[in-house]
Amino acid sequence: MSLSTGELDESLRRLFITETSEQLEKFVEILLGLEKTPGSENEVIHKLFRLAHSVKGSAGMMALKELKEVMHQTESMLDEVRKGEMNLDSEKIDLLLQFSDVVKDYVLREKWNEVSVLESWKQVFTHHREEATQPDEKLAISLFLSEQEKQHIATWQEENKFVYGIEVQFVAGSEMQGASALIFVKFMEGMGIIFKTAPDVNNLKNGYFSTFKIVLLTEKPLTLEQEKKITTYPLYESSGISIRKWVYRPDEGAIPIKIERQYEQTIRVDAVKIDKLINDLGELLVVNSGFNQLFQQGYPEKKNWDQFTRMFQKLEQIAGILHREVMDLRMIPVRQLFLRFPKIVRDIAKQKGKMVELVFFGEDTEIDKQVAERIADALTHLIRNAVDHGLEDREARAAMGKPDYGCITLGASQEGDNVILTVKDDGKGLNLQKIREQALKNCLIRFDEELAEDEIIKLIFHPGFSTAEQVSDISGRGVGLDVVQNSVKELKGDIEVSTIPNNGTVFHLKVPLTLAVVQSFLIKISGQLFGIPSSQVVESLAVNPLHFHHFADKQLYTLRDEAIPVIDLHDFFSYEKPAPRDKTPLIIVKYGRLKIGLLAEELMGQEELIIKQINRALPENPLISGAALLGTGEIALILNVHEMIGAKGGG
Amino acid sequence: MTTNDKTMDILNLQFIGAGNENQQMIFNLDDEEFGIDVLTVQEIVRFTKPVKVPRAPDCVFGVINFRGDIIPVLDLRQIFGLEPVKHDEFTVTIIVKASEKIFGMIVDKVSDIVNVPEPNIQRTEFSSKEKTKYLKAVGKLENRLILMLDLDKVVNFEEIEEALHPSASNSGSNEIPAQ
Repeated sequence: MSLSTGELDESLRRLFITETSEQLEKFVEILLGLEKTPGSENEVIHKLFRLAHSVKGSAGMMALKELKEVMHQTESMLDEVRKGEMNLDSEKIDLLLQFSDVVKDYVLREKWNEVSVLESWKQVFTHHREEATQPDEKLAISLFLSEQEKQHIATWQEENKFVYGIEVQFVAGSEMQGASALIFVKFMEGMGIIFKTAPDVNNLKNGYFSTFKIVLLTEKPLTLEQEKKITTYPLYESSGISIRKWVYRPDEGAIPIKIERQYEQTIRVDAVKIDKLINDLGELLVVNSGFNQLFQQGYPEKKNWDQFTRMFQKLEQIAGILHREVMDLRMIPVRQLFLRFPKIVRDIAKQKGKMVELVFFGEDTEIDKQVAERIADALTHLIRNAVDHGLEDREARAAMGKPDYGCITLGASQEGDNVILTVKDDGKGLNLQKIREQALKNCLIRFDEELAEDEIIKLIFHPGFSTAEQVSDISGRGVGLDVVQNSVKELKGDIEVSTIPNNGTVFHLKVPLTLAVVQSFLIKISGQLFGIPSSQVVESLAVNPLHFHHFADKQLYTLRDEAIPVIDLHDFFSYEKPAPRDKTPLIIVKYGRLKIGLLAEELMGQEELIIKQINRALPENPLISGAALLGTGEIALILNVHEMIGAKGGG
Repeated sequence: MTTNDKTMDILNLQFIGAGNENQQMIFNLDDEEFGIDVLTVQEIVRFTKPVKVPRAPDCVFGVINFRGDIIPVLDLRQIFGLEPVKHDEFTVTIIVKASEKIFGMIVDKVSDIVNVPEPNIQRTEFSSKEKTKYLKAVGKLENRLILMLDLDKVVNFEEIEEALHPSASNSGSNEIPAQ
């Protein structure tokens, strides 16, 4: 079967997007490395050069002239660095990092239209190469606008009004540019609205700048005469004034999220995994032909019964292996999830003027791609918070005798069917006293309520807490931790927080390895099937309910000197109770440090269940987290142990 | 069962062909005829006993497997305050989609698909407290009276619960049974 042109184009496009995104990610990774340890070694620059080169190549293949040209510029710039003709200073690294963001956005969009953001970058690179030896803070006009400002401009244009970019070049070594620029701004005010200048008008006295840029908004287009007036304005020390009508396309500002998702849907699988899969599929075919042969000899009879049984066992085994391996295809190393963070940390750190080192551990731990995607935002949130609020500023750190560099640790480790993701900072820690005060202010607790340390910490996840005023300053933690908690909860995960004053805070997010298949205990209650995820089960035993201790209205079971509260699921669900037997199954489950025993009618054993959400037409039922279809066609409801322990009320 | 299956096949065929705006699928509860917009109907399936969901609202009969999805099934008799009846060969589950939710409704039998002309539809404001609040109109067809259901209201469980147990809204689902 051959692919139609459309399909071919589409698959080529996909390949291009995946490949280029990956190359750009590497590009950024290297740049970040360079930023940390400057002194560009040739080998590293060479790598950057090669990456730029291959992006250029793919751009050529996709007939993206714009991208190809701008990548060529990048290549040339890197070539000069490689030859030692240009120094790759932090400013240029910054520029390249911004540039990779732009290119990545460009690549991920649905349509690569002719006019694009890339145009301005060509000029940037040209400038950079022309003035490689001079200090320079030239940025294309589009670069010093925030998203909000871009939006503003886009709206302005939609109203059929006009935007101009004016750029003043100053001669090298000029000393009066500040004053000149001010005079120029005064003059330009007569032409329209000065939307923004770079450098900022209030900041003109500080430092040297070689270009001065203005974004001008006008109701009507500038006449030729006006334009001429501007470009020929006799400005002291200026070497030229250029004006450009600026067509800002709103679609260039906002890249629809939809596309990002589309790109994420592909999974890159380790070739080794595929090989293994093919290998085992071969085994399946062998078993298949084995069965064929047997059937040719006639249907199972007593004489070849043994052979049938053996073949059947083999089939069962292979089915199990294949199932595991296919599930394994969904697993990705958390490294892929972590890759985005160095850039995020760097950006916030820069913005906040902090020095931050991001350390990883356990990057090879594997996690279901879907879980990774659903936890990514929560991690981003925690990491942002850690940099923004968790770490002290440099002065405070110095005063405490801490190293200048704040350290954020991001790590993963596997624990049974769960992955523990750790976000740790060595900052000031949570101020429990102030959290308490804030919670009091927000009426989350009563003034006389006595709370243990971990109960106070839990308050920061309260939605009412995070929306409070100035909370970030008071608690040292930013807004929206309830969002983190929600996404962890949705994954049936768990959060643990510990904090030591002036030593830092640690968040442990416990999330399941995979969402698709969950090893579960199957139990029967009053004839109906229920599942309990095995990861939440400590052990199961057969007990005699007559041996329970009764204390107030609670039943307790003593297991190895530990008193465990017992819930009879029949009572809990108001189901009919079977007659007491001396060997009733008791499933011990845990949530955090709490343990509880669930008394069932019958234990059916363990099974791997594919858990589905109950169609959302049903009102939210906290006790049931989903349902599974069994091989027999029966439905088993999955118990949400966390909620049951909660509903039991502190045991 | 065979007669039932055949009826269902015919009905399923009919409603696939239906497209007019006022096409109503008629089903019966006791002697009353109810109508729902044919376009909301996904499929009519033979009655299978739903799996009970503990602590779900009373009007939820349970959940069933519908094409690999697990969907809730409502007990319309409960919602309309009718006495439960024994399920027989005519009992069917109508799978419908309303308010972006897919759910099943157990009815005594499905009888017909009819076109109710607009002039025959009487849209009255029904009292919000009575059971009639799940109706959106009454259609007259010769000497038949068709109660046209508002499925968006039917699927709004919180209100149903409130209507069935006006005082029990707080203590309902989170109550811990005494040990």
